[in-house]
Amino acid sequence: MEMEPVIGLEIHAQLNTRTKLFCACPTEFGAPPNTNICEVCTGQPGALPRMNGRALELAAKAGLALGSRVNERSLFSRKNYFYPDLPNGFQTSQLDPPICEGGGLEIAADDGSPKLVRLNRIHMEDDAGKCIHDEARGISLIDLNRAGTPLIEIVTEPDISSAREAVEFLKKLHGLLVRLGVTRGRLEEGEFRCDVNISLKPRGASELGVRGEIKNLNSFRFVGQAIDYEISRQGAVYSSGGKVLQETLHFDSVRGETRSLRSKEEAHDYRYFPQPDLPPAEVSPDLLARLRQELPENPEDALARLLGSGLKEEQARLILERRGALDYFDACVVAGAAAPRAASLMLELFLPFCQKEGVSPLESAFGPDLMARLAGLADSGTLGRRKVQELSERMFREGADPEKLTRDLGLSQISDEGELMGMARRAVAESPAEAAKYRAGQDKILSFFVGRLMKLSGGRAEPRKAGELLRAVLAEIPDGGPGGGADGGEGARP
Amino acid sequence: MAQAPSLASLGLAEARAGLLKKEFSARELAEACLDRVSETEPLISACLHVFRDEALREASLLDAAGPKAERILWGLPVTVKDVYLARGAPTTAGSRMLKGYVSGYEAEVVTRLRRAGAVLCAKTNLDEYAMGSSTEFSAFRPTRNPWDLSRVPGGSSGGAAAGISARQAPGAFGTDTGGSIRQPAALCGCVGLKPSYGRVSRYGIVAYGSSLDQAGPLARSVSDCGLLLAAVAGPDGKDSTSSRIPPEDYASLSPPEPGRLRFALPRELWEARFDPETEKVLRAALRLLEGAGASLEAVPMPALRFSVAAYYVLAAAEASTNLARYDGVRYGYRAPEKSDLLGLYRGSRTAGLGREARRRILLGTFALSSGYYDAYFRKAAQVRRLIHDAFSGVYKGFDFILAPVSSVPAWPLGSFTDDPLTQYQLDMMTLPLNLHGGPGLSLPAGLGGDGLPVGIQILGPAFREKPLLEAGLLLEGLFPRLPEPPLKAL
Repeated sequence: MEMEPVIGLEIHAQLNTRTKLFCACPTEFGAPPNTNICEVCTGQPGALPRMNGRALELAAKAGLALGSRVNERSLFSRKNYFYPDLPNGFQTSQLDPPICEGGGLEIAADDGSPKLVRLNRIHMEDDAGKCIHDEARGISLIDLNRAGTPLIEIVTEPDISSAREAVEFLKKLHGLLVRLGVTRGRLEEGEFRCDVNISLKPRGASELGVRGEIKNLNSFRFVGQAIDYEISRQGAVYSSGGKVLQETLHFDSVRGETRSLRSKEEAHDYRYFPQPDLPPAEVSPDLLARLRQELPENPEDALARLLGSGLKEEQARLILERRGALDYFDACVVAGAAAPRAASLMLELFLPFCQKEGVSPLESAFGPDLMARLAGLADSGTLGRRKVQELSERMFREGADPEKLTRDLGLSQISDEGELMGMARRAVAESPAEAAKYRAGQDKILSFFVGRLMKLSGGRAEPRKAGELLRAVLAEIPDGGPGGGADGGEGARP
Repeated sequence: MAQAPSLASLGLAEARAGLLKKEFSARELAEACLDRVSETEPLISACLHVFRDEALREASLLDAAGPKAERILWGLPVTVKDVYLARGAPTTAGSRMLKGYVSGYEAEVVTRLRRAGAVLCAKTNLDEYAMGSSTEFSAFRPTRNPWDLSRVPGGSSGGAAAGISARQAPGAFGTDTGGSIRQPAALCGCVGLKPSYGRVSRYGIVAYGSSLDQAGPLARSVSDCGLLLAAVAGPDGKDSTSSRIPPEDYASLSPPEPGRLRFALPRELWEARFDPETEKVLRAALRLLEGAGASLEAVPMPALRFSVAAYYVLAAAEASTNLARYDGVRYGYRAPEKSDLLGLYRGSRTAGLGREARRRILLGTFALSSGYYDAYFRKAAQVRRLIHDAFSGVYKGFDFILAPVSSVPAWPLGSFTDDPLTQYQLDMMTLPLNLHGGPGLSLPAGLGGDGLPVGIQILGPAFREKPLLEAGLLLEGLFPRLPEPPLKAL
């Protein structure tokens, strides 16, 4: 009998807040053990939780972006179990109603067609601390820095059919939540981790098989490996006539296999009940409207908008790809920059700097208003390409004003026709032999004159105009007379 | 036992007047109270921790700065039940589990008391984790009733009430989850107020039944309770269940015109079986009130019949998870044997928690368990709703509800320690108020022929403590004044 896998995911994402879910302790990672703690997150007698409003907003935002229904009132419940890293003897989580219900995310199915992976719910909860087992000393140590860190748990429907689909879903979800700022999503720090529910059923059957739950996977690769291993393990059990047990599994990433942690019989009775210390979490219609406005547009809409504003597709895609680049670009345009100029300056100069220095665009000293001024100077022809490049380096390092720099350094491009014409005549007059070759039909020699003129101008001549004027001057005097025009004599030597 | 020295027997308001006029110093007052504590503690065991040196030092500091009328408890000695955390001081909640636990932070009430100028003299005895109505379930020692040392003071704030009655301090704070302020106040002949749920911050008070627990004052007069409430009432950002409704001015009260007051007397409570002496005192009190012109009317409140059952499910359910943190891992008692994790939990909780606490944890765990939740917890929550609605209905036609506090006077130690069901039933007069959430004031109605005080309680609409206290002031004026308790075994 051919079996097909049925997979659902439970994703824990750490919300990107400065402080914990129910107290003001910092959520920073890597502090010395038991330093980011207080009476609330260590479960001292008499301490009470108070809701972090920012966490609530981020959870609602995740729901909005995933098309979920965000409940105006959701309830916290106590989920009771004993473990040394759980200071209160209960986790504060949400049972019914959670903050978000429904929604989904589209991925490409294994056959290439689009497939909606539906969400069951998103709920908020606090994280536990950490137990560190010191085998050498035969003791266990507890670090409560992480206790009380805000999480959302995103629960999918069992809509996923393969390891590849699961990984694609997770990557897409991860990218979206990171882009939204809902989570920082650092996998190595456990900020985005996943439980996998997986069962097999005869292809086409409607009834689901008995499932195993693989806990706490914190890399996309492990998710893929664990699912593939579990599919073949369960398949082997079925084909040998055995029974798959409902159990909780651990994935051993070194051996690449799953191991049983506990069976259904050992499952906890969590005795959920409404957390009496917290009123319902409220997301008012006003708040919801504001959060909706804060949502970034989806990538397809953003691409269309960028193309509409005159960017080349290549440029638009690069801007969408780089984190923070779209916000920076939009801010430049708001500050008055022409869209195509802002895009080319960003891609050629600004973003490479950011990447090299590890600075996110909007945090750079080279702010969008400065970029808009630089773009203006470039568009008006005041600054040539090379000068723009020179300036941008100083702008990036010092946040210097390009208009002031241009004035102070005398960098502005010479585009005044009278001034340039003088230089053009002098360049032609100084090199009669080359002028003769040009007139004899060697067009390419024009660039020689442009170079001469540039030298004369200290590099500030506007190249396009310089070319035009040189061409005019060279065309002017076919009879070889000294100089030309009214003021032409200077430096004209035969 | 000699009469209390004059300074220790002053009420809060009188002592405050004397302090502001500099008739005596804060230190002299504190010293008089602390001397009284030393003198009476061997008889009543009301206190678990006495802060003599700290209190005298604090009082001297206050004296040095001079009286401040705007600090309404300036220089006044107070005690708190040993569930309030006070920075640097021990907090045991009457439990062996927390023996030696030192508070690393402070309860909001204690902070506000200090800000108001109060001098913290002692932390008082209680039933372990406030679970009980006799203070016999304290893990350390029982407290005795100043009116008859062979009897219980009531509970769970028995230490607070006995201390007030014995003139150890003019003001005390207790907690009331199912009557734990009002019942000991009645059995010890003092005044106790359970404010509305959310009126006083619960932050830093060891939790028993979180949705029912409320902090409140005990004193020897109604207006003294008003002063104490005024010092601590009001919103607290650290307690998400504290109400944002602004407090009223509880420090200046005047009694209402009795002819305008309509009292409802719930049949289910007044038709209970009473101890004859208690009943006599209660009937006399009702006659006095009627004689003054107030209207009294019996009303049926059938939902109250289920309050004992509903309360013991809800409070125990919440307690079962509130007490989960006492696991021997991070602080508190830890079983000494080397064993695995489960053994550590079992050993620590079995030895660290007393019989009544373990009984309620098991009861609550059962009520929340898969398969029983709907039959017990959900049903109890529905009853709570019915009781709430019954109160609201009565307040549409009446100003207050008038009820007994206890059907019996203080009982001899040991009467019910092996009979929890009978003891739970005795709470039926006080539990309904906690299920409603409104305020209630217990005050002495008189002394029975057996020489034991009898209390009566007025219950009112939520967040209307001021009119409730003012009605209390009226009743206090009508009812006989109690003498000082004899501090002897009768």
